[in-house]
Amino acid sequence: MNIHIIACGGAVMHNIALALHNLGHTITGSDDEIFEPALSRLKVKGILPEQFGWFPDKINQNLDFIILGMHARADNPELEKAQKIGVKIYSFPEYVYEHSKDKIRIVVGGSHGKTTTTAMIMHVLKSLNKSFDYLVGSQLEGFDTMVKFSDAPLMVIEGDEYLTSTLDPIPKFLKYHPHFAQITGIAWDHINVFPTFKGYVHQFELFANSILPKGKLIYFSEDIELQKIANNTPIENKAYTTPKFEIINHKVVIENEKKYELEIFGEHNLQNMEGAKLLCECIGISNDEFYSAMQSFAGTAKRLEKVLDTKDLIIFRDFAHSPSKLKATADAVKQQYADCKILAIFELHTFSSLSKDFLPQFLNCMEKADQSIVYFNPHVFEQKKWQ
Amino acid sequence: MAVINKADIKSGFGDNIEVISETSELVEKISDFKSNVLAQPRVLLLMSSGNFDNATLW
Repeated sequence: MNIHIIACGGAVMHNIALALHNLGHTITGSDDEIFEPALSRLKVKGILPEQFGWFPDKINQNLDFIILGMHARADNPELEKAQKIGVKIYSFPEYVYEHSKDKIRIVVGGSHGKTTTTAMIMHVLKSLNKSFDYLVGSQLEGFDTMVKFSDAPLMVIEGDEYLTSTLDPIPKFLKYHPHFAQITGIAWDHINVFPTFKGYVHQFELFANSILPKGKLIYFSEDIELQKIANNTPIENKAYTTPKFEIINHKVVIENEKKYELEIFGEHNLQNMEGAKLLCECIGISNDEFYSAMQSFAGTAKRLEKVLDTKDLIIFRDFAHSPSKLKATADAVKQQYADCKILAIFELHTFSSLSKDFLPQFLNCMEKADQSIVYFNPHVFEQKKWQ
Repeated sequence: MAVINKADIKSGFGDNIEVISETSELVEKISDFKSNVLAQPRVLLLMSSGNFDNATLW
Protein backbone atom coordinates (compact mmCIF):
# COMPACT_ATOMS: atom_id res chain seq x y z
CA MET A 1 0.00 0.00 0.00
CA ASN A 2 0.99 3.65 -0.43
CA ILE A 3 1.00 5.40 2.93
CA HIS A 4 1.92 9.00 3.70
CA ILE A 5 2.80 10.11 7.23
CA ILE A 6 2.27 13.76 8.16
CA ALA A 7 4.74 14.70 10.93
CA CYS A 8 6.85 11.59 10.52
CA GLY A 9 9.83 12.69 12.62
CA GLY A 10 8.52 12.17 16.16
CA ALA A 11 9.63 9.34 18.41
CA VAL A 12 6.57 7.17 17.84
CA MET A 13 5.76 8.42 14.33
CA HIS A 14 9.11 7.56 12.78
CA ASN A 15 8.89 4.13 14.40
CA ILE A 16 5.47 3.65 12.80
CA ALA A 17 7.02 4.65 9.46
CA LEU A 18 9.79 2.07 9.96
CA ALA A 19 7.33 -0.64 11.04
CA LEU A 20 5.14 -0.09 7.97
CA HIS A 21 8.19 0.04 5.69
CA ASN A 22 9.34 -3.27 7.18
CA LEU A 23 5.97 -4.74 6.20
CA GLY A 24 6.68 -3.86 2.56
CA HIS A 25 4.49 -0.77 2.22
CA THR A 26 5.60 2.27 0.25
CA ILE A 27 6.10 5.06 2.78
CA THR A 28 6.40 8.78 2.21
CA GLY A 29 6.42 11.41 4.91
CA SER A 30 6.85 15.03 5.85
CA ASP A 31 7.91 17.05 8.84
CA ASP A 32 9.09 20.57 9.52
CA GLU A 33 12.13 19.26 11.41
CA ILE A 34 13.54 15.78 12.04
CA PHE A 35 16.18 15.19 14.67
CA GLU A 36 18.39 12.27 15.57
CA PRO A 37 17.96 9.36 15.97
CA ALA A 38 14.88 9.52 13.70
CA LEU A 39 16.82 11.25 10.94
CA SER A 40 19.45 8.52 10.55
CA ARG A 41 16.99 5.67 11.02
CA LEU A 42 14.64 6.97 8.31
CA LYS A 43 17.60 7.71 6.01
CA VAL A 44 18.99 4.17 6.29
CA LYS A 45 15.63 2.81 5.11
CA GLY A 46 15.40 5.37 2.30
CA ILE A 47 12.26 7.02 3.68
CA LEU A 48 13.69 10.31 4.97
CA PRO A 49 11.91 13.22 3.24
CA GLU A 50 14.18 14.94 0.70
CA GLN A 51 13.29 18.33 2.19
CA PHE A 52 11.88 19.41 5.53
CA GLY A 53 8.53 21.20 5.38
CA TRP A 54 5.00 20.54 4.18
CA PHE A 55 4.29 19.78 0.52
CA PRO A 56 0.64 19.41 -0.57
CA ASP A 57 1.87 17.91 -3.86
CA LYS A 58 2.75 14.77 -1.91
CA ILE A 59 -0.96 14.24 -1.24
CA ASN A 60 -2.78 12.54 -4.10
CA GLN A 61 -5.39 9.91 -4.91
CA ASN A 62 -2.72 7.19 -5.21
CA LEU A 63 -2.39 7.15 -1.43
CA ASP A 64 -4.28 4.38 0.34
CA PHE A 65 -4.32 6.42 3.53
CA ILE A 66 -2.54 9.01 5.64
CA ILE A 67 -1.39 8.76 9.24
CA LEU A 68 -1.46 12.08 11.06
CA GLY A 69 1.15 12.80 13.72
CA MET A 70 0.34 14.65 16.91
CA HIS A 71 2.22 17.83 16.28
CA ALA A 72 0.66 18.61 12.90
CA ARG A 73 -1.64 21.60 13.29
CA ALA A 74 -5.20 21.80 11.98
CA ASP A 75 -4.10 24.18 9.21
CA ASN A 76 -1.28 21.92 8.02
CA PRO A 77 -1.26 22.31 4.20
CA GLU A 78 -0.89 18.56 3.57
CA LEU A 79 -3.74 17.79 5.96
CA GLU A 80 -5.95 20.40 4.28
CA LYS A 81 -5.19 18.89 0.85
CA ALA A 82 -5.98 15.38 2.12
CA GLN A 83 -9.29 16.56 3.54
CA LYS A 84 -10.08 18.35 0.27
CA ILE A 85 -9.49 15.34 -2.00
CA GLY A 86 -10.93 12.84 0.47
CA VAL A 87 -7.96 10.62 1.30
CA LYS A 88 -8.58 8.45 4.37
CA ILE A 89 -6.84 9.94 7.43
CA TYR A 90 -5.94 7.99 10.57
CA SER A 91 -4.40 9.37 13.74
CA PHE A 92 -1.66 7.03 14.89
CA PRO A 93 -3.76 5.39 17.64
CA GLU A 94 -6.59 4.92 15.17
CA TYR A 95 -4.18 3.19 12.82
CA VAL A 96 -2.81 1.02 15.63
CA TYR A 97 -6.38 -0.10 16.34
CA GLU A 98 -7.05 -0.68 12.64
CA HIS A 99 -3.95 -2.84 12.39
CA SER A 100 -4.74 -4.82 15.55
CA LYS A 101 -8.54 -5.07 15.40
CA ASP A 102 -8.46 -8.84 14.84
CA LYS A 103 -5.80 -9.45 17.50
CA ILE A 104 -5.93 -9.72 21.28
CA ARG A 105 -5.07 -6.23 22.55
CA ILE A 106 -3.40 -5.62 25.90
CA VAL A 107 -3.20 -1.95 26.87
CA VAL A 108 -1.34 -0.45 29.83
CA GLY A 109 -2.57 2.94 31.03
CA GLY A 110 -1.96 5.09 34.07
CA SER A 111 -0.31 8.37 34.97
CA HIS A 112 2.98 6.68 35.72
CA GLY A 113 4.80 3.43 35.09
CA LYS A 114 3.12 2.55 31.80
CA THR A 115 6.31 2.39 29.73
CA THR A 116 8.06 0.21 32.30
CA THR A 117 5.01 -2.02 32.74
CA THR A 118 4.60 -2.41 28.98
CA ALA A 119 8.30 -3.23 28.77
CA MET A 120 7.90 -5.88 31.50
CA ILE A 121 5.15 -7.61 29.52
CA MET A 122 7.19 -7.40 26.31
CA HIS A 123 10.22 -8.82 28.09
CA VAL A 124 8.24 -11.74 29.48
CA LEU A 125 6.60 -12.50 26.10
CA LYS A 126 9.96 -12.34 24.33
CA SER A 127 11.58 -14.59 26.94
CA LEU A 128 8.83 -17.12 26.33
CA ASN A 129 9.23 -16.85 22.52
CA LYS A 130 5.67 -15.61 22.08
CA SER A 131 4.82 -13.84 18.84
CA PHE A 132 3.41 -10.35 19.41
CA ASP A 133 3.18 -6.82 18.03
CA TYR A 134 3.80 -3.80 20.21
CA LEU A 135 3.75 -0.05 20.65
CA VAL A 136 5.81 1.36 23.50
CA GLY A 137 6.89 4.91 24.30
CA SER A 138 10.60 4.30 24.69
CA GLN A 139 13.35 2.52 22.84
CA LEU A 140 13.89 -0.71 24.78
CA GLU A 141 16.98 -2.85 25.00
CA GLY A 142 16.44 -6.05 23.02
CA PHE A 143 13.90 -4.47 20.67
CA ASP A 144 14.96 -2.72 17.46
CA THR A 145 11.99 -0.38 17.27
CA MET A 146 9.29 1.12 19.48
CA VAL A 147 6.57 -0.24 17.17
CA LYS A 148 6.17 -3.62 15.56
CA PHE A 149 3.44 -4.61 13.13
CA SER A 150 3.19 -8.21 11.91
CA ASP A 151 0.66 -11.03 11.63
CA ALA A 152 1.11 -11.95 15.32
CA PRO A 153 -2.14 -12.75 17.16
CA LEU A 154 -1.42 -10.38 20.05
CA MET A 155 -0.54 -6.70 20.44
CA VAL A 156 0.81 -5.02 23.57
CA ILE A 157 0.16 -1.28 23.63
CA GLU A 158 1.28 1.49 25.95
CA GLY A 159 -1.88 3.53 26.34
CA ASP A 160 -1.21 7.22 26.74
CA GLU A 161 -3.89 9.55 28.08
CA TYR A 162 -2.53 12.52 26.13
CA LEU A 163 -4.54 13.77 23.17
CA THR A 164 -4.80 11.91 19.87
CA SER A 165 -4.30 14.63 17.26
CA THR A 166 -5.19 18.14 16.26
CA LEU A 167 -8.38 16.79 14.65
CA ASP A 168 -9.35 14.57 17.54
CA PRO A 169 -8.62 16.01 21.01
CA ILE A 170 -9.42 12.92 23.07
CA PRO A 171 -6.96 10.61 24.84
CA LYS A 172 -5.12 8.15 22.67
CA PHE A 173 -5.92 5.22 24.94
CA LEU A 174 -9.62 5.57 24.16
CA LYS A 175 -8.89 4.42 20.59
CA TYR A 176 -7.58 0.96 21.42
CA HIS A 177 -10.62 -0.91 22.85
CA PRO A 178 -8.52 -3.47 24.73
CA HIS A 179 -9.41 -7.01 25.66
CA PHE A 180 -7.29 -6.70 28.78
CA ALA A 181 -6.11 -3.43 30.31
CA GLN A 182 -4.13 -2.34 33.33
CA ILE A 183 -4.31 1.04 35.04
CA THR A 184 -1.26 1.62 37.22
CA GLY A 185 -2.47 4.69 39.10
CA ILE A 186 -3.87 8.17 38.69
CA ALA A 187 -1.92 11.31 39.56
CA TRP A 188 -2.92 14.55 37.92
CA ASP A 189 -0.79 15.35 34.88
CA HIS A 190 -1.00 17.25 31.57
CA ILE A 191 -2.85 20.13 33.16
CA ASN A 192 -2.53 22.08 29.90
CA VAL A 193 -5.23 19.84 28.42
CA PHE A 194 -6.90 18.52 31.60
CA PRO A 195 -7.28 21.66 33.73
CA THR A 196 -9.13 19.91 36.57
CA PHE A 197 -8.27 16.71 38.43
CA LYS A 198 -11.86 15.55 38.07
CA GLY A 199 -11.68 15.91 34.30
CA TYR A 200 -8.38 14.03 34.27
CA VAL A 201 -9.76 11.14 36.35
CA HIS A 202 -12.78 10.94 34.04
CA GLN A 203 -10.51 9.99 31.13
CA PHE A 204 -9.46 6.84 33.02
CA GLU A 205 -13.09 6.05 33.76
CA LEU A 206 -13.76 6.24 30.02
CA PHE A 207 -10.72 4.06 29.39
CA ALA A 208 -11.96 1.38 31.82
CA ASN A 209 -15.33 1.40 30.11
CA SER A 210 -13.69 1.12 26.67
CA ILE A 211 -12.53 -2.42 27.52
CA LEU A 212 -14.42 -4.98 25.44
CA PRO A 213 -17.41 -6.59 27.22
CA LYS A 214 -15.74 -9.94 27.92
CA GLY A 215 -12.44 -8.31 28.75
CA LYS A 216 -10.85 -7.53 32.07
CA LEU A 217 -9.56 -4.49 33.94
CA ILE A 218 -6.46 -4.95 36.09
CA TYR A 219 -5.99 -2.11 38.56
CA PHE A 220 -3.93 -1.00 41.54
CA SER A 221 -6.28 -1.20 44.49
CA GLU A 222 -4.28 1.15 46.76
CA ASP A 223 -5.27 4.04 44.47
CA ILE A 224 -8.54 5.47 45.74
CA GLU A 225 -9.61 6.88 42.36
CA LEU A 226 -8.99 3.54 40.68
CA GLN A 227 -10.95 1.76 43.38
CA LYS A 228 -13.93 4.01 42.59
CA ILE A 229 -13.57 3.39 38.85
CA ALA A 230 -13.40 -0.37 39.39
CA ASN A 231 -16.49 -0.28 41.62
CA ASN A 232 -18.50 1.56 38.98
CA THR A 233 -17.48 -0.14 35.76
CA PRO A 234 -19.50 -3.05 34.37
CA ILE A 235 -16.22 -4.56 33.14
CA GLU A 236 -14.89 -7.55 35.08
CA ASN A 237 -11.92 -6.41 37.12
CA LYS A 238 -9.14 -7.74 39.29
CA ALA A 239 -7.06 -5.77 41.80
CA TYR A 240 -3.41 -5.98 42.66
CA THR A 241 -1.48 -4.50 45.52
CA THR A 242 2.11 -4.12 46.73
CA PRO A 243 3.72 -7.56 46.88
CA LYS A 244 5.69 -8.71 49.90
CA PHE A 245 9.40 -8.46 49.31
CA GLU A 246 12.78 -8.38 51.03
CA ILE A 247 15.87 -6.37 50.18
CA ILE A 248 18.98 -8.51 50.45
CA ASN A 249 22.34 -6.98 49.48
CA HIS A 250 20.60 -4.16 47.62
CA LYS A 251 18.55 -6.70 45.60
CA VAL A 252 14.80 -7.24 45.78
CA VAL A 253 13.73 -10.80 46.50
CA ILE A 254 10.08 -11.79 46.23
CA GLU A 255 8.53 -15.08 47.23
CA ASN A 256 5.73 -16.72 45.28
CA GLU A 257 5.94 -20.45 46.06
CA LYS A 258 9.66 -20.04 45.44
CA LYS A 259 12.12 -17.14 45.70
CA TYR A 260 12.96 -14.86 42.76
CA GLU A 261 15.73 -12.26 42.85
CA LEU A 262 14.93 -9.20 40.73
CA GLU A 263 17.01 -6.48 39.12
CA ILE A 264 14.25 -3.86 39.46
CA PHE A 265 13.45 -2.13 42.74
CA GLY A 266 11.06 0.42 44.18
CA GLU A 267 7.57 -0.27 45.46
CA HIS A 268 6.04 1.43 42.40
CA ASN A 269 7.89 -0.94 40.07
CA LEU A 270 6.90 -3.97 42.12
CA GLN A 271 3.27 -2.85 42.16
CA ASN A 272 3.31 -2.40 38.38
CA MET A 273 4.93 -5.80 38.03
CA GLU A 274 2.04 -7.39 39.91
CA GLY A 275 -0.37 -5.83 37.43
CA ALA A 276 1.75 -7.04 34.52
CA LYS A 277 1.64 -10.52 36.02
CA LEU A 278 -2.17 -10.45 36.11
CA LEU A 279 -2.31 -9.23 32.50
CA CYS A 280 0.02 -12.05 31.47
CA GLU A 281 -2.19 -14.47 33.38
CA CYS A 282 -5.08 -13.34 31.13
CA ILE A 283 -3.17 -14.72 28.13
CA GLY A 284 -2.17 -17.99 29.74
CA ILE A 285 1.24 -17.23 31.27
CA SER A 286 1.83 -18.88 34.65
CA ASN A 287 3.20 -17.10 37.71
CA ASP A 288 6.40 -19.12 37.56
CA GLU A 289 6.90 -18.35 33.87
CA PHE A 290 6.31 -14.66 34.59
CA TYR A 291 8.58 -14.28 37.62
CA SER A 292 11.33 -16.43 36.09
CA ALA A 293 11.39 -14.16 33.03
CA MET A 294 11.25 -11.04 35.21
CA GLN A 295 14.50 -11.99 36.93
CA SER A 296 16.41 -10.80 33.87
CA PHE A 297 14.40 -7.60 33.38
CA ALA A 298 16.73 -4.69 34.06
CA GLY A 299 14.28 -1.85 33.52
CA THR A 300 14.09 0.71 30.75
CA ALA A 301 16.35 3.56 29.69
CA LYS A 302 16.10 6.61 31.95
CA ARG A 303 13.81 4.82 34.39
CA LEU A 304 16.00 4.23 37.45
CA GLU A 305 18.76 3.53 34.97
CA LYS A 306 22.06 2.79 36.69
CA VAL A 307 24.74 4.73 34.82
CA LEU A 308 27.57 4.18 37.33
CA ASP A 309 28.05 1.45 39.93
CA THR A 310 31.19 1.50 42.04
CA LYS A 311 31.86 0.46 45.62
CA ASP A 312 31.44 4.01 46.97
CA LEU A 313 29.20 5.69 44.44
CA ILE A 314 26.12 4.71 42.44
CA ILE A 315 24.48 7.04 39.93
CA PHE A 316 20.94 6.68 38.59
CA ARG A 317 19.11 8.76 36.05
CA ASP A 318 15.38 8.83 35.66
CA PHE A 319 12.79 10.44 33.43
CA ALA A 320 10.69 11.43 36.48
CA HIS A 321 9.20 14.90 36.18
CA SER A 322 5.73 14.88 37.72
CA PRO A 323 5.38 15.12 41.52
CA SER A 324 4.19 11.52 41.93
CA LYS A 325 7.02 10.17 39.78
CA LEU A 326 9.65 12.19 41.63
CA LYS A 327 8.36 10.96 44.96
CA ALA A 328 8.14 7.33 43.85
CA THR A 329 11.67 7.44 42.45
CA ALA A 330 13.28 9.19 45.43
CA ASP A 331 11.43 6.93 47.88
CA ALA A 332 12.50 3.83 45.96
CA VAL A 333 16.17 4.79 46.00
CA LYS A 334 16.07 5.52 49.74
CA GLN A 335 14.34 2.22 50.46
CA GLN A 336 16.82 0.23 48.39
CA TYR A 337 19.91 2.14 49.57
CA ALA A 338 18.93 2.95 53.14
CA ASP A 339 22.57 2.83 54.27
CA CYS A 340 23.74 5.38 51.66
CA LYS A 341 23.89 9.16 51.53
CA ILE A 342 21.58 10.27 48.74
CA LEU A 343 21.76 13.44 46.65
CA ALA A 344 18.65 13.90 44.49
CA ILE A 345 18.76 16.47 41.69
CA PHE A 346 15.75 17.37 39.58
CA GLU A 347 16.00 19.41 36.42
CA LEU A 348 12.83 21.46 36.13
CA HIS A 349 12.45 21.28 32.38
CA THR A 350 9.49 22.02 30.15
CA PHE A 351 6.60 19.60 30.16
CA SER A 352 2.85 19.68 29.89
CA SER A 353 2.19 20.32 33.60
CA LEU A 354 4.80 22.99 34.23
CA SER A 355 3.19 26.20 35.44
CA LYS A 356 3.47 28.42 38.48
CA ASP A 357 0.11 27.22 39.77
CA PHE A 358 1.23 23.58 39.58
CA LEU A 359 4.46 24.04 41.58
CA PRO A 360 2.86 23.39 45.03
CA GLN A 361 2.10 19.84 43.86
CA PHE A 362 5.84 19.18 44.20
CA LEU A 363 5.92 19.91 47.95
CA ASN A 364 8.32 17.55 49.77
CA CYS A 365 8.42 15.12 46.85
CA MET A 366 12.16 14.51 47.35
CA GLU A 367 12.13 14.57 51.16
CA LYS A 368 13.57 11.05 51.45
CA ALA A 369 16.86 12.17 49.93
CA ASP A 370 19.53 13.46 52.30
CA GLN A 371 20.13 16.47 50.05
CA SER A 372 17.90 17.77 47.26
CA ILE A 373 18.52 20.26 44.46
CA VAL A 374 16.18 21.69 41.83
CA TYR A 375 18.02 22.93 38.78
CA PHE A 376 16.51 25.02 36.02
CA ASN A 377 17.99 26.69 33.00
CA PRO A 378 16.49 30.18 32.62
CA HIS A 379 17.22 30.05 28.88
CA VAL A 380 14.87 27.08 28.45
CA PHE A 381 12.13 28.93 30.34
CA GLU A 382 12.66 31.98 28.13
CA GLN A 383 12.27 29.89 24.99
CA LYS A 384 8.91 28.70 26.30
CA LYS A 385 7.93 32.20 27.47
CA TRP A 386 8.15 31.13 31.12
CA GLN A 387 11.07 33.53 31.79
CA MET B 1 2.01 32.61 31.25
CA ALA B 2 3.01 33.50 34.82
CA VAL B 3 6.66 34.20 35.53
CA ILE B 4 8.43 31.42 37.46
CA ASN B 5 11.41 32.36 39.60
CA LYS B 6 13.66 30.77 42.21
CA ALA B 7 11.41 31.83 45.11
CA ASP B 8 8.38 30.20 43.47
CA ILE B 9 10.30 26.98 42.99
CA LYS B 10 11.54 26.95 46.59
CA SER B 11 8.07 27.68 47.86
CA GLY B 12 6.58 24.91 45.72
CA PHE B 13 9.12 22.21 46.54
CA GLY B 14 9.68 23.06 50.20
CA ASP B 15 12.30 24.83 52.29
CA ASN B 16 14.79 21.98 52.37
CA ILE B 17 15.38 22.28 48.63
CA GLU B 18 18.30 24.14 47.11
CA VAL B 19 17.48 25.89 43.83
CA ILE B 20 20.24 26.37 41.24
CA SER B 21 20.02 28.10 37.87
CA GLU B 22 23.68 28.10 36.86
CA THR B 23 24.94 24.94 35.16
CA SER B 24 28.50 25.54 36.40
CA GLU B 25 27.25 25.65 40.01
CA LEU B 26 25.35 22.40 39.51
CA VAL B 27 28.36 20.68 37.98
CA GLU B 28 30.45 21.82 40.95
CA LYS B 29 27.89 20.44 43.43
CA ILE B 30 27.89 17.09 41.65
CA SER B 31 31.67 17.03 41.49
CA ASP B 32 31.92 17.75 45.22
CA PHE B 33 29.45 14.98 46.03
CA LYS B 34 31.30 12.50 43.84
CA SER B 35 34.74 13.31 45.23
CA ASN B 36 33.76 13.62 48.87
CA VAL B 37 34.36 10.02 49.96
CA LEU B 38 32.46 9.30 53.18
CA ALA B 39 32.28 6.40 55.56
CA GLN B 40 28.95 5.50 53.95
CA PRO B 41 28.43 4.86 50.20
CA ARG B 42 26.74 7.57 48.14
CA VAL B 43 23.93 7.54 45.60
CA LEU B 44 23.39 10.32 43.08
CA LEU B 45 19.90 10.43 41.58
CA LEU B 46 19.45 12.61 38.49
CA MET B 47 15.86 13.24 37.40
CA SER B 48 14.62 15.20 34.40
CA SER B 49 12.12 15.17 31.57
CA GLY B 50 14.55 17.13 29.45
CA ASN B 51 18.19 17.16 28.49
CA PHE B 52 19.64 16.10 31.78
CA ASP B 53 21.29 13.19 30.02
CA ASN B 54 24.44 15.26 29.47
CA ALA B 55 27.13 12.78 30.45
CA THR B 56 29.45 15.58 31.61
CA LEU B 57 27.27 15.69 34.72
CA TRP B 58 28.55 12.32 35.79
